Amino acid sequence: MGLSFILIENLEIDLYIAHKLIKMTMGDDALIETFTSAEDALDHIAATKIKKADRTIILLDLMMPRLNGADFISLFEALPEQITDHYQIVIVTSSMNKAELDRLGKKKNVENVIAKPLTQEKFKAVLEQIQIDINGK
Amino acid sequence: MSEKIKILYIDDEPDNLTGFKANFRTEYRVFIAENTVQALEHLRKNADIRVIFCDQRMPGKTGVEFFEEIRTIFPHPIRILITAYTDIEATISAINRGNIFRYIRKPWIQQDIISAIEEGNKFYIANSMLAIKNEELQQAYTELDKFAYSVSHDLRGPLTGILGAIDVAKEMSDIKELKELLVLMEKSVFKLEDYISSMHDYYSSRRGELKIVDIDFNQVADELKDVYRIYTTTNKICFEATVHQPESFRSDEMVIKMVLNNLITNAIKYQKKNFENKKIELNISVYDGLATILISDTGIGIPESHFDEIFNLFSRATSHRAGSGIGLYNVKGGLLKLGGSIDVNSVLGEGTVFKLIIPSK
Repeated sequence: MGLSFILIENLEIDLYIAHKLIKMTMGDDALIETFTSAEDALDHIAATKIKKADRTIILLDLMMPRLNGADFISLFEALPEQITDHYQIVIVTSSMNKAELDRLGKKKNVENVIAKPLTQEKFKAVLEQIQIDINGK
Repeated sequence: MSEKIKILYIDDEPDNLTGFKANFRTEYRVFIAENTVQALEHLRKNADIRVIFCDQRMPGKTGVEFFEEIRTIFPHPIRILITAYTDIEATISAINRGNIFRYIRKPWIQQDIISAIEEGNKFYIANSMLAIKNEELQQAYTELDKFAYSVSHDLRGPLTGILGAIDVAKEMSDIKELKELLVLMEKSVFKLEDYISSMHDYYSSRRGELKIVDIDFNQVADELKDVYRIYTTTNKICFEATVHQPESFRSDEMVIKMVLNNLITNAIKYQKKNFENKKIELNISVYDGLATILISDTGIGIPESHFDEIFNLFSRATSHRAGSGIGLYNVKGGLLKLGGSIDVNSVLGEGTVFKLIIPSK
């Protein structure tokens, strides 16, 4: 199965943590791509050729300068379904704006909303919910 | 009072107009109109007319009708009707509907008009103050909203980062990795510290009174060099300051230092990472009671499309560096208090120049 991860996060420390958690949970050979800008991530997603079995989990921060997470989701949704169907978005945020989080949580490609800090426990729970086998653990 | 209060008088009888103007021209700036068309013309040209007197009985349109009509277009001037006893019903109904402030009986006597102008003017000033206060309040609310956003982003952000790092650290045994994580945690703590001190600047610069003293820019520049020596040497940045101050200069030293500190910290923070000849130049010259301060750097630059918004609260022009979006807002606020101005010029990838002009107080 072509499982991979995309991290979109402008804070260095949170990026590091998410990266580390994925490796700790999925093993060192997990496929991870990181972006500190949502624009770059969007360009990458739009340009990536997908194979049928590919499945990518996006861990998305909301509060980022320039293109923020919510705007990213809107632009992402405008991409063709043949692309978006292969992606599942998990929002990871320190935002306390409940109305906004509820609204985004209902979006088609958004699987879950995690309150920062991202921990092993929360990460594993989300993986379980979206039915991803945790390698060797 | 430096300027005369502007009043407008509308009456279809030219004699009344002339009489009115002759009576009050020394005390007030009097505009007269023979009909409502002329009156509207005056109102359009003079937005600061404070009191309008209008005769009730005019061909075509009554005074009450005219006031009702202009109430929405020109809501600020105080409307006073001049009328005879026979029109009392129309007058009462107009007062009750809020279209006129008071009425004066015809024939009017000078004292009635003067007292109406003075009372009307007081009411006008109170209303205007209220409008200004409302606007300030609106701005305060807007800033509070932004602050609420920034609390979760800039205060909680670094904290949740540190918490997350601690959680990960518990599972790690490799000392090298742990140290990497510690460096990141330290950065988060610094960011938090930075944010809190800029919030402090923000509130003290907004509420504080100015303390005007003689300012020796040579001394200010030397202090800045001392303060930033540790940063400029560790980051291999050449920091040069030149000061030309042939005359004395008076201003608030705390505000000037806050402004310069913010701009120099930015100049250090936004340098290009692997650039050989990193440089920051501070140039201060004082002539004819004006201090012109140039701060230029060889940093990453600011896109031209962001020039206008970089001074807004919580605005960020780049996603690649730490920043709270308060610094330049404080700079602009501080300069505003000093009666100064700031201009930015920048070429992306080459550097940025901030030009400040501050008048001596």
